This record gives sequence, structure tokens and C-alpha cells, in this order.
Amino acid sequence: MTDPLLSLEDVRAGYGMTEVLQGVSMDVERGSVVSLVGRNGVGKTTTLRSIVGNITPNGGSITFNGEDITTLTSETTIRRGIGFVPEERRIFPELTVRENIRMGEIGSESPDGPSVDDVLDMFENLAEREHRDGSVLSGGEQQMLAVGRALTADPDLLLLDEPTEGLAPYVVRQIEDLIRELNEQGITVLVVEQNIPVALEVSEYTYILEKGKIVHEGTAAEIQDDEDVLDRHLGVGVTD
Amino acid sequence: MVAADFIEQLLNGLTLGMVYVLLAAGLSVIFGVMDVINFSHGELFALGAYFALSIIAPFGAGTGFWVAIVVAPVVVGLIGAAIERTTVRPLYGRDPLYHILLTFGLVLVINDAIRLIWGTQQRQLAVPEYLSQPISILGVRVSVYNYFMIVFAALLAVVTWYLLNRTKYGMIIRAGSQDREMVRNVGIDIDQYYTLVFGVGAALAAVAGIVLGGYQNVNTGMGNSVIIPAFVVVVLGGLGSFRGAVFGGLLVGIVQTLMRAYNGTVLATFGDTTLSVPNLEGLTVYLLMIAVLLVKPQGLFGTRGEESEGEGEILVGGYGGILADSTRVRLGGIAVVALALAPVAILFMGDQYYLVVLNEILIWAIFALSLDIVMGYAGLVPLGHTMFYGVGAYTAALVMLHYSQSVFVVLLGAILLCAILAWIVGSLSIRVSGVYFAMITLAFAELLYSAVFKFDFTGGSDGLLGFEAFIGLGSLGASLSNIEFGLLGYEIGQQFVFYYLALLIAVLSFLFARRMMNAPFGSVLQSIRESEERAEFIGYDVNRYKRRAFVISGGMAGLAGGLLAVSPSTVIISPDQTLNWIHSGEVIVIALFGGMGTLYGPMIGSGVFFGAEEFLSSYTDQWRLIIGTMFILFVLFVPRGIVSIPSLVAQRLETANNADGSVDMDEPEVRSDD
Amino acid sequence: MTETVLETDGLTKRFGKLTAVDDVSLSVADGEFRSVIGPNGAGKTTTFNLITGALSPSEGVVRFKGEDITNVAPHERVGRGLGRSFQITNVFGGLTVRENVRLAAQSVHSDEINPGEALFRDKNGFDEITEQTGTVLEQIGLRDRADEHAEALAYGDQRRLELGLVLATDPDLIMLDEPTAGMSSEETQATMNLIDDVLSDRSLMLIEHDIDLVMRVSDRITVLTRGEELASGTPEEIANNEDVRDAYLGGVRE
Repeated sequence: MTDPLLSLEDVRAGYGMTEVLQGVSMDVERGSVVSLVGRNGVGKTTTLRSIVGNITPNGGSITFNGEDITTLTSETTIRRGIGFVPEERRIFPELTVRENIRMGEIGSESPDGPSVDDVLDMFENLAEREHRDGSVLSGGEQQMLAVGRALTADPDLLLLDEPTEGLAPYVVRQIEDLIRELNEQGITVLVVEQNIPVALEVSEYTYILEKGKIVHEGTAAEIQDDEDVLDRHLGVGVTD
Repeated sequence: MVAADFIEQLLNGLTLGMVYVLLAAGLSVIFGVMDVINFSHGELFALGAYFALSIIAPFGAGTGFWVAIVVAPVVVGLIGAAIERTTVRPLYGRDPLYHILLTFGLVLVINDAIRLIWGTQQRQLAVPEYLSQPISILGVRVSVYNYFMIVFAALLAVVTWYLLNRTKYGMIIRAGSQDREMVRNVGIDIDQYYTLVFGVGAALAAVAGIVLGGYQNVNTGMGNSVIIPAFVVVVLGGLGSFRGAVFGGLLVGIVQTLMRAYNGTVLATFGDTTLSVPNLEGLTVYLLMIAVLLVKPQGLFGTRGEESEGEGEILVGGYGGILADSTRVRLGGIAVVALALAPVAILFMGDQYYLVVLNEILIWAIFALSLDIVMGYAGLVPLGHTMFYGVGAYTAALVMLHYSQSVFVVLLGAILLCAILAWIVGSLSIRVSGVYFAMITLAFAELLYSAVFKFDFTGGSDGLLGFEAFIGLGSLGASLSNIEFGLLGYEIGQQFVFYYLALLIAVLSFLFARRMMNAPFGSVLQSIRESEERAEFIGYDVNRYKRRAFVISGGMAGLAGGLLAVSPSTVIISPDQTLNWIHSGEVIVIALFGGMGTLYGPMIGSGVFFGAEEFLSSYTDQWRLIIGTMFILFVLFVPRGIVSIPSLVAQRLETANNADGSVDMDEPEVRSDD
Repeated sequence: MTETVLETDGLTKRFGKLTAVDDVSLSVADGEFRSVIGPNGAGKTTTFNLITGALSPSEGVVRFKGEDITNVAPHERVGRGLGRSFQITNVFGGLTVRENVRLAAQSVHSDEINPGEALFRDKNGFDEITEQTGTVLEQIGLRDRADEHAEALAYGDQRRLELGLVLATDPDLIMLDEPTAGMSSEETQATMNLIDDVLSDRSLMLIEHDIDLVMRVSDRITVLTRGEELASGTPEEIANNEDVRDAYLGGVRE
């Protein structure tokens, strides 16, 4: 059994004095799609930001591909082969679609990744708007663009933070398909989601975060059927 | 012919405008990407012209000019890059005030370095013969150089635009000004590019300097005279917008030139500094800047919001001092006694000159104290505080000339008028915050500076003279200059009398300020400095408090200015002496030196600053360079000022002796990636 | 019949094309403990800001103790008895604990201080304020640490101080913005105990993500989703509400 691609061990992290993560441990196996769910405010985004290096953990360790990346800066971490698609996409509004993707390519150390044209081929609607500014794209298109930007770096691991937020149902389906497709191409995916059905649909394994700790984990199928767990940790509580 | 005349002026305006474009482009992009306000941009501009002089010398005018225009900007660009790496870089994450302070320190250093290396005389930049020929097209007569400037600068602007929009590095820089963190999150170390941005910005400024140097002349004041218009352009166009810099630069250049041509106001000359770039007698331009800041602070093309990313704090001096309060009071008492006896010592020494210096120190101590009220306590950073100092001086002089010579009436008049002015300026200025607040106060100050040139009653560029103070009221008392008597064989004159008057007022001002800070009003000011939002939400009308602090501060600064007018050393009250923006910078320097937020800190700072100036200037002409360097070191390493040194030392000793968990009080918590 | 301490009527806030809060009408009774919950982007914080005055509404009315405060400035709302605490601890770091509390107490006595006194009288010379400061310090358990600088306090103590600041303004209604964010279960319990100790005789409105907590302490709960009010009721009613469950779980049961 190979080591997990990404491993968090008892990670404690936060902003200033607020310690949002109070000992998070989780593994992401190579080639899998793992989801991290929980109600808002529990620390899902903080977890991703800690992995990427926007935040330096106060305690614990994060290992990627056998290397300890806990204290690396984000530029360095990304270059190790992690693609990051943050909450709200954060595409560069005054750069064109092409330029946005190019930014991802520049940041990459690997010459093997898809070129800008390759990515445009993948996403038809982006190709159509190749020279338009990022700000004029719709939410779904921006999401695709953010993913495309991350893909040019040929990542081993793709981190997605709430990729379906604010998107119409049919776009959500497209995102789900995209995630599956990328996974089939060999990319490991860790997706943070507040949308439970989506999370359980695309992932094989699920971690549930509550108040800065993992309170439950299991295969998506198991969790899907476990109403008690769903209500307790993700819903509005169990009715006695 | 009127039409040809107009077109000539238009061309002149365009010429000047292109110079502004080059200056503002660098300044604006530097701010857009790095959140740094670079006051030294004007000196980099001058540096370009001076380097060009040196390069042209061995080559001669013909080839020399072209060699210079390529080589000098590169040299200045490298210098700019070095400045960024060594001084600006360490300050990321701190309140933008510190960039302003740092780059202001750089102004002193670079300007003095220029004087040291090239001397203070005005020089001519040798331009090739064929460029300086007059040329007439369709009845429009200008110099070929005009066309050259326009074309060359436009070419550079286009090249810069190309670099920004069509190259990899330009794209990264543009992305950086849109979302710095995300640039890191795609794997690019944006910090490295800052050096590039700063360097290129400096190079552009250098080109502008060379080009303008050839048009007019090269002198040590050229940087000073161009930096304010450059800021106007940047604000108008929008901080961070290249397009805005182009538009704003051309607009300001043309408006300025046209206003000058059709206004008929004469340019001014002071000492060895010639104001070759017109001092914006178009008050219109400053009014425009104020209007833009009030209506759309982001400028015409800017897209950034009001608050920039890094929210730092103003580091005050008094925190965690090692001395007990009672000790401090005692020390203060000793200081006052020492000061009271100082003149006696000076008498024995026989040289009254030191009294003059002490008088200056006292006046500026009050000025710096006034600044501390708003800066160190309310947390507002005004870049135009000299307006109150100047208006106070002018008011005092005018009162003495036209109304009453009684020193009480004079000073009261100065205080009142400045308080009213502060109320007006404050009410408008506090609508914006941070950098924009600093800019708008600067605009008001420049407005007043330009205004006093225009009016007869303020004496225009010559200023006011012939005023004299009367120590007393009505007919009871004596004219200051008449006070002279002998005491124990020594002559006591007006310097003496004034000294004690100034000392008394300084002590009273300090006690007033201290009382105020220990009273409810002052306590609220401090809470505003700590957290404006929280102060609002425990029920304080923050704007009202800010305004009132500004009024009190303005009144006190006016008092300092009034004292300046009363001082026997003062013969003239002139614009440059009292309203030049450089004084706004100096008073902030003094406050920082001493330690903001302590009241006595800035006063000590005044002593140190002028004392150092006196001491150093007797050894070298380049005392400003030394003070500037000291100041930069302070900004970098001792931001809380001199008063914090004892506790800094104590802290170092303590942590050396034992590992204790003392709270690090120097830097605010900075997130790891920002 | 209990009085209504807070009432909103058709409260709406639009940012360009986005409607963050849509026609929210709720009313909080005097002495009630009301919690507001909802999935991300539900509009909880915006609603909060509309009530405290940090934002002004595009439409609708806010009534406090019967009076229309829709256009009243935030600081004035505090003066009328509407207090708020902050999510990210927002105390006056460079000032002492005592001074922090004193400032809050002083603000509600501002009317009694004339301009002369405001400028010249020693701030510690006002008996009523000093007394109130002492009382509050005692209540939040920070009397022993009163002379320390606020930023030197441990996180938990800073939260207490935060509550102390609210308490000192003597509010009738307290808006609490995620008071237990970033806290462990033990700290959460301690904080809620504290809130219970010192604030229980006042009306409370809470935004929280910690559902367990909310269910335990609230009298009534309002659920917002996409800016609209989905349901209001007792914890039991909310827990049994299918629509609420769907909003959180997204219909996973299918």
C-alpha cells in the first residue's frame, strides 16, 4: 500500500489569535477524489489555505509526496505540484482568459503540463472568449478558468474550494463531470464543499469537519446512507 | 496670431504633460503593485538629469546627450532597485505611513548626495544643436526640442504600455496589482518583481528628468518642485492605473501651462533654487485633486477600493516604557528647570546664537506636539500640517501689521484662524481615510501655498515684513525689540525675552495636551487609534472626535506659526519658509524621531533634529544626508522613536538573560503570506 | 404581552445585482435569546450589519424598542441600547483592560459630561463611570488582570473583555457575531456560560455556525437561506423542519 499523496497530521492553524483548526488529521490517497465537508465556519477553507501555505500552521505537520511542506511558502508549495482553485475563483479580472491561464503556466516548474492552447481546447466556452477580460465571464466560466489556470501547472493534486458555490444546477453538473474527468486523467482531487450532494456524488471518501476537528470520516456511500451522521454534523442536529 | 499662440501653448503643455506622464506612470504602478507611496520619485527624477550631466561631459553635446539618455536611466534604475531591496522591502506589512516616512528620508539623503557630488549651482544640460533649433510649422513657433520631448516621451510611454500589456513580466505585474496573493497561489514569487517595478519606475523618472533638464535647466530643487504635481497626476488618474497616469499627466500639463500662459503670474526665485516647473499657480489643479478625492478617491481610472490590503498600525513610543510615571514626571520637571536655566548658561558663554537655535527648537516642539495629537493619538496622518503652521505665521504677521501688535492678540488670532481653517479642512478630509486622507491634506496645503503667492496682502512671493511684536496689552508693556537691559553686567535682549515666552507657551501646551489626553476626550482619541470600528460600536461618533482633534491640533500648530512670526529672529514670513510641503515632512520626521503618541516624544524629537542640524552643519554641508540616513534607520529599526530606546535596550537585555514570553511589541501580527 | 425589543420589516439589501438580504421581517421579544443560522451566503452577516447600522438597507425598516432606527448612525444605536460584539476580537489592544472597559462605560455617560470636563477633567474622576467599570470587570472575571494591556491577554480572556465592552454600554439588546468562532468545545462552553452569567437578563441575538450550541441555548431560531427567511421557531420546531434540513443537506436523502 502506497503512502497517501497528501497527509495532514494534527494540524493546528488559524488567524492571529483565533485557532480555527484544532488538530486536523486526514489522508488523501493517490488517484482518489476526497471531499472535505462541514458547515460554514468550521475551518474548511482554513485547511486548504494551510496546505497551500497561505497560513503557516501553529502545530502539526503536512506531508505531500513524502515531503514535509508544513512551513513552505505558497509559491514553493504550488511548484511541488499542487493546483489551487480558491473560494470565489479569484481569477485576475483585468487579465484576459488567455493571460489568466498563462499565469498558471508561468508558475509551473513542470514542462509536461497542458499548454494554454491545450486548456482552451478542453474548455470550449473559454476558447470562445479567449481575449475577453476575466471579469466579463459568468460564474461558471470563471470557475472553469480558475481550474484551467491550475491545470497548466500539471498538478498531482488539485485543491478545489467550494467549486459549485453560486452556480446554477446545470453548471454544477458540468463541474462534477469535470472533476471526474480530471480524476480519470490521473489527478488526485481534494474538494471542499458545503453542497453535500455534490460532495458525496464526486468523491469516494469524505471527511467531516466540525469546530476545527475531523468528527467523522468514511466512504461517500456510507455517509450518504447514514442519516444520523448527516443530521448531527451537517444538518440542524438530531431530533431526539 | 492668437490661434498660433494657443497652439504653441498647447504644445508647451503637451511637452510638460509628457514629462508628467513618465513620472506618474512609475509612481502609479509602484503604488498599484506594491502599495508604496514613493516620495523620493522626484529626487530620482533629478538624479537622472544629474547623471546625464556627468555622462555628457566627456562626450560633448552631440553624442553625449544620446548616450546619457540611455545610460543614465539604467543607472538610476539600478539605484532604484537597490533602494527597494534594502529599505522598502523590510517595510511591507507596516502602515503605509512608514513608506511615506522612509521615502521622505530618502529625499533628504538623495538630495544632499546630489549637492555633495554636483554642487548647488544651477547647470545647463547640453542638448544637441539640431534639437534646440526653433522651428515654425504653420505659423506655430516652438523649439524642435518640444517635438522631440513629446515624441520621445510618447514612444517611451508606448514601450512601457507594451511591456506592461504584451510581455510576461508585465502581465505578472498587472496580475500582482489585481490580486497579489493569487499570484503567489499560482506559484510565482511576486516579491522579486517588486524590485523590477521599482527599478523601472525609477528609470522612467530619470528619463523625465533628463528630458526636462534639457528643456529648462538642472538644479537641486527640481525634484522638490515636481513631486507634488506628480502626486496630483497620480491621484487624478487613479493610483495604480497606467492609463490614468497618461491621461492625468497630459491633463495637468496642459491645464498648468495654459493657466500660466493666460494668467500672467510670474515664476518665483528663491536663493539657489529656481522653480522652473511652474508652481501650479493654477489653484485649479489642486482644487481638482481635492474634488476627485472627495467624489471618487480611486481617481478617474482607478479601480482599487479605498483601503489597501495591508492594515498596519502606527507604532507609538510610550508603550511598555520602563520608567514609572512618577519618574517621568520628575524627569520632565528637571528638563523644564534645565531649559529655564539654559539661557543663563548661554549668557556666560557669551554667544547668543544658541538662544536662536533653542527658540527654533521650542517653536517646532509645539508644532510637533500638535501633530502628535492627531497622528499619535487619533491615528490620522496628515501630510499637509504645515498649512496651519504657515497660516498661523501669516495671520500673526498680518495682525501685527494691521491690527494690534500685542503678542496676546496676535497669538490668539493665529490660534483662532487656524482652528477655523482646521475645522473646514478637517470636515472635508476625514471623509476619506488612509492614503487618501494624507493626499487630501497635502492638496489643501499646496492650495494655500499657491494662494499666498497671488495676493497682495500676503505679500506675494516676497512675503510679509516689517512686523513687530509688543509684549503686553494696550499701552502696558514694551515692544519686543525695545526690551534691552543690563543684568549683572550682561545684556538681556529680545532673544532672551522671547525664549522665556516660548518656553512658557511650550510648557503650557504640553500640559494642556497631557491633560486633554488624560481626560475623556483624549481617551476616546486613543481608542480611535487602536480600533476605529470598535470605538464606533461602543457608541462614539468617531468622525466628530477626529474633527475636533484636528481642530485642536490645527490651532496649536497655528500657535507655533504665530510664535515664529513673533520671534525676533524672524524678519520675513514667506511662503517657502512656512508653507512649503517639505515642512510637513520635517515635522513628521521630528515626531517619529522622538516617538509618537507620547506628547513629549515629538518635543524631544525637535531638540534632537535641530540640535543635530546645528552640530552637524558645523562639520559638514551634508547634514541633511546624515539626518536622512539616521531617519531611515529609525524607520526601519526604531519605529517607536527615541523614547522607546530605553525599553528596547531593556528588552534585549532581558531576552538575552532569560527566555521569557514577553509579548513582541514591535510588529503587528502579519500573516505569513501577505 | 411581552414587548418587542427589535423588529425588522421588509429589510432588503442589494449590492448591484446581488440581493444579499431579501425582505426579512423578524421580531425579537424582550428578554428573548434569538439565534440566526443558515448555510453559507445566507445573508446572516449582512442582516446583522443592517441592524447594527454598519450598512444601510436598500429597502425596509428597523425598529428598536418601538422607535424607527433605520437611519440612525451606528454609534447612536449603541447609545440607545443596541450593543454588538465582534467576531474577530476587536478590543483596544494597546490600552489596559481597565481602560477598555472604562471607555465603554464612559460612552453611555457622555451626555452627562460637559465640554469643559471632557477636555480637562481627569477621566478617572467620574465616580459613576469608575464604579460601573469595576462592576463589569468583576462580572467578566478580569478584575485581577485589569492593569494588563489587552493585547497581552490570552485569547479566551480577550473574548471576555470583548463581552465586557458590550456589557459596559448597558445594552438592552446585544448582537453577538459568532462569539465562539475558532474555539474548542471547552472554550465554547466557557464562553456560553459567561454569556449566560452576565447577559442573560438582556435580549440576545446570535449569529452562529455551531448548530449544537444554538440548539441548546436559544429560545427561538431564525433560519436564513439565500437572503430570505426560511423558518422561525423553537429549536425543536427547527430541528424537525424538512425545509431547513434540505437547505443544509441539499436533499441528500433522495
